[in-house]
Amino acid sequence: MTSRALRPANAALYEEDFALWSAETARLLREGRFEEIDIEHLVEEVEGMAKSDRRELNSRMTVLLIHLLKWKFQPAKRSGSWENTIAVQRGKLEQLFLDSPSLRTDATDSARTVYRHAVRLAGIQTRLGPKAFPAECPFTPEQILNEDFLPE
Amino acid sequence: MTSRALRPANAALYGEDFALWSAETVRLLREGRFEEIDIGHLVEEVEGMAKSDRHELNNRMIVLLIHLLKWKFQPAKRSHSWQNTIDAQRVRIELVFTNSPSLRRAVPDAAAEVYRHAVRLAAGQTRLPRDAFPAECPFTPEQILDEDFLPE
Repeated sequence: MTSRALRPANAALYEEDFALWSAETARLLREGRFEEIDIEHLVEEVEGMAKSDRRELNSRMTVLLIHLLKWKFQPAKRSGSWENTIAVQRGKLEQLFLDSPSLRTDATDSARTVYRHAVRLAGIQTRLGPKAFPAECPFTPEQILNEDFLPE
Repeated sequence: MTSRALRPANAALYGEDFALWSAETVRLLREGRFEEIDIGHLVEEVEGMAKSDRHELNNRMIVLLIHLLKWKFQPAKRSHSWQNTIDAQRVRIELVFTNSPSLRRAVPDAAAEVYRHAVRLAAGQTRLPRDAFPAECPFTPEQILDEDFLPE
């Protein structure tokens, strides 16, 4: 009971009913009743929005790298479908950068972080195995994002 | 210049870079610096979170109604695939209710709102004329969500 009294009234609502919690939180923010706001969960939610953009960056980067690797190291199988996948991922990444230009700076980190997974998946998809690909990403961040770049 | 001075410093950031805006908003919330927070956009975002559950309800409801209509008015084509689609939408809707039980009360509204669109799409998919379907939704909210209900 004591710990309950220390928490804002709508902290419990967060677990019980997210739609009601967010409506109530919006109302308290609008009315400037900051001392009643469930700050802890609000912080989590706002951080979650930023994280979901970062997750999208990583997931698009993975698909993009897989297809650039396949393009470079399995040239006999190059296809319109691979080229389309590359173009679609780049387009979606540009949309993400439109909302959050600072994520463009994170693209370098992202490429480094996901490269290992991309190699593993490219190895499986091409049946060449992971050793067929370089240990470090062979593309620069500029090449990865450049809509006209396809590796030789 | 005057209007700028009246707005919190990070209100401009919202339009420029969402990732930076959310990181800054989190920092200000954590430090309790409420007077510096861009409340207008924060309220929009928090309300948007509530709306995304409601959108999910409407989207699932459309697909569910289309298939219940097809089941009822094109009985010759009833298939396992249609039944699967109906089951899957009901499960997804139950997941929305797990998050936000209060949205269960929004079901009659959601069904009424999307019924017109469901009829249009059901007519296209069955190639039946639109007036082959009733003007008002022939299913009750209870029937729509009842996992054992399939219309005669």
